[in-house]
Amino acid sequence: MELETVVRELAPQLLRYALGRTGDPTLAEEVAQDALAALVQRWRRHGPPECAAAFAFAIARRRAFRLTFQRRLMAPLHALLDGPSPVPGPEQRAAARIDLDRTLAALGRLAGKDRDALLLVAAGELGLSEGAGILGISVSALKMRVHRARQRLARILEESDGTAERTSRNAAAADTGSRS
Amino acid sequence: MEPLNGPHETRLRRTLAPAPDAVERVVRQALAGPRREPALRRLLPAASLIAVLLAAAGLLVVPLPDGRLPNGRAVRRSVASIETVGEVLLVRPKHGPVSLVSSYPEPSSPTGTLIVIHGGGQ
Repeated sequence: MELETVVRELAPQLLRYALGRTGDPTLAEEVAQDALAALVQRWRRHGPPECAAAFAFAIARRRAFRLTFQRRLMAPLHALLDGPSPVPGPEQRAAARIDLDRTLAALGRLAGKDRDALLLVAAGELGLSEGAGILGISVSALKMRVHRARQRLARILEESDGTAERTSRNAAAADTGSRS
Repeated sequence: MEPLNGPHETRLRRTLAPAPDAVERVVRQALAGPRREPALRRLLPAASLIAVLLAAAGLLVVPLPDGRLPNGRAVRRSVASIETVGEVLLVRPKHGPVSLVSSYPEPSSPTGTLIVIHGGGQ
């Protein structure tokens, strides 16, 4: 298989996984790019690794952890130097963005280990054996984590959707009442 | 395990799906080679850490102008070296003559015991 084909196949999977892990599209691009650049470097110097996806995801996982940690560490300093972050405008509140925010918030409420397992397998579309290898656990333990994460995510998303629906219904009712 | 194509997994993949231009950018930059940060920028965190550690060590070790250490203890400097050569005890002053046993009374005479061992007798 050609290097460029592999990189093109892995890029969207890594971006999805990294966005789920970091919650920030800019950081996600950085993570995916670093992982793919390491894969390209390895491929050109020593030939393709045994499993290109496992290789790239292992690097993406470490990089995502480091960047998230750095961002949390530097957050007070950035807040001090840059002032409060600007209030998002109406464009940023578009439906797609709201859905992404809601999904990211739901992911954030999962336990870290369960979230990582779900993101590797569901968002990254990694095989169970590769995912288990990256996390350093057995396949059955990975299945257990993914199962637990899916159940909890489904519950959180259903609750969140219900709340959002009620809020929009109330807002619509209030709007109608004020016009009449 | 159930297949991962339920409504929530599909939604997860759909909402996390990257924009095509982001994918293209990542692929292009990855194939172009690893990013090279300037050497100074890469070494900056390590250099800052070393500087902070050195400053902390300096504060703890270097005596203050009044001859005291930062923890309040006075700096003690030896005035003589003492060693044994066989059965002989050698005392070598480092800075000029040192009086081991005073032959005249001093205002605050030191107290203690001096044992001189010579040829097995005391």
